[in-house]
Amino acid sequence: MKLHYLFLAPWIVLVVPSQVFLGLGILIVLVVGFLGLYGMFAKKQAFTILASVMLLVSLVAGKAGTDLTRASSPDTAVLLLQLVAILFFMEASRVVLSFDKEMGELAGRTDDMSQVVRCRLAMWVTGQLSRQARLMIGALGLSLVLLVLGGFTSVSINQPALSAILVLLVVGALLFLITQRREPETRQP
Amino acid sequence: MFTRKASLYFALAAVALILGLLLQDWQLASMVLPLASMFFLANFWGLPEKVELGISHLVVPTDSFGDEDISVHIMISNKTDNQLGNVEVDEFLPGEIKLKSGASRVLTRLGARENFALGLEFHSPIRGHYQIGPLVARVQDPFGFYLVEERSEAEILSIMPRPERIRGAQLRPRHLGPWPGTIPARTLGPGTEFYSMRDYVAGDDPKRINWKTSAKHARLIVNEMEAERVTDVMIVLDTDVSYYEAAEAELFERGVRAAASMASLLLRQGNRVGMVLQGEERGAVSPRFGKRHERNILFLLAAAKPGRALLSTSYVITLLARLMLPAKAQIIIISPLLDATIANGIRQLAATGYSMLVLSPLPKAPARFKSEEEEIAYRMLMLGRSNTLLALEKICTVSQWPAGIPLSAILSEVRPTRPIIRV
Repeated sequence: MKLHYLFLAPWIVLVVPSQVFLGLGILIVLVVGFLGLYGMFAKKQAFTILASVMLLVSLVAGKAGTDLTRASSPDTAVLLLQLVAILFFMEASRVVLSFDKEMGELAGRTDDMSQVVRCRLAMWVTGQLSRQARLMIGALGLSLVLLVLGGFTSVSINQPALSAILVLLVVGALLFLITQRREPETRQP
Repeated sequence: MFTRKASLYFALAAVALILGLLLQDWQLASMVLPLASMFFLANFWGLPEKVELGISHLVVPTDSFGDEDISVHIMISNKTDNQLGNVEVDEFLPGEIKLKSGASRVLTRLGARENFALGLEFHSPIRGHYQIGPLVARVQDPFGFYLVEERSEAEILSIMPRPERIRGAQLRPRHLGPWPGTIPARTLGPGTEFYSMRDYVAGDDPKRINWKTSAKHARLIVNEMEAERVTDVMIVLDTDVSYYEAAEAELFERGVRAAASMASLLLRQGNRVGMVLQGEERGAVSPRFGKRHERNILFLLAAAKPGRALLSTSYVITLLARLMLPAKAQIIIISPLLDATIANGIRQLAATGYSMLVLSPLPKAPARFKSEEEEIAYRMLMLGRSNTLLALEKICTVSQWPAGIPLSAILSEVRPTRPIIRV
């Protein structure tokens, strides 16, 4: 789990045609890899988040750059898989780092209560990772199904009016999905 | 509720969609689909719609003299039939507290109707009030898009100064209460000290007959005792102890301990005792009796911190003495006398008939000075203090308390003085 930036960074960045990143693809891979690995091993969550955000930006910018340079586009399923992989590993690394941090604070304590907390923590990390994996697989599967269904309808997005309606629909659907049954966060310090 | 993180994911989806439409790239626009699916699945399967948690925490003991371990008992219960996979329990503890066992933050999952008891233990911190909590329990979906938060009120842990067992000083205030106590009342009554003799009358206790004198005068003579009563006392702790950093804490803590010990002793003797904290941290407790009142005074002393007073000490003590004490009662001032202006207030109170006792903890001289200027400053400070002491000795009883000498030894040497007040 701690080494995922080693394969994720080259997979995301190096599949984009090199002219899109002005030939700096390798450098981006090195920077992302270094930040991610440093964050994971030094247990600094800010660095892992930064590396993941850089990967997300690389993915979106790479796709936009591919369009602008009229280079060959990757397969849609691969693109979605890359996005899901970045998001999954970002969330999973957050869980792993939280686990490491809490375990670190318990280091050296052998009392009964600390043992109970350790057991609880181990159960939590296993449950969290498996539930995240299940939801991510579900999200990828649902996206692919929706993509196939969307393909059947053959909606053209070249029409501005249609595009505007589509945007409104998608934004409305997203807002519904976010806010359905839930209110905005009012977390106190 | 949905979190800030959900809003950021929403922003990512919006960016992908807008870019896709601007560039007329349906692949970019389709990146919205996994994000929307994540929201959908996290909302409907990640977190139950109804989350009900019972949370409570209990600090044992809530007040202590600092010589025992403190425990915090936390209880979290899931009151629904749904399993909660991502529960974060966070007990906020002050930075001074270092845990001995348990953890203040626990990540766990809770089964349906499960109760989870958690215990923390730590060594008692130094004197002061500490806020334990609030206890917060957060339930989230696996991605942290949605959050249900429960919190319980913070509790206050008070580490109070332990009063030392001391012997009393000779206090002779002119105001005395009607109840028996330990202060000589300059009148006949039940007591332990000899006062006078008189002829025996029928009904006198034969134990009081002074046989030697009776034999000398060939008639029965009985001893009479001096009545002993209680009084009203106000203890003023001057917390303005701006001094050398290392020695300041020792000087200040000595003052706090003395205030606690004297309050405890005077209350045990049946007196009504009040307390005034004067410095940056101010506080006052009116004179009352009893064990519970002793707790109130120690609770106030637990909050004492050294610092420069905003209001003049003279003004505060003269005002509060008149508000809180009857005329001619006893006032005990515990002050290192580093600020000469306190003398004016003491002079005013002595002139109005209050019986004054000043207990002055003597500051320790620094082992060595960093510069010649510092040494001169120290000498000037001590000279100023000596002048204040000289001025005070003429108007009230003053007792200097050097470090390392028990307070009892100092107080046993205290003798009331006749004030010479020049108005």
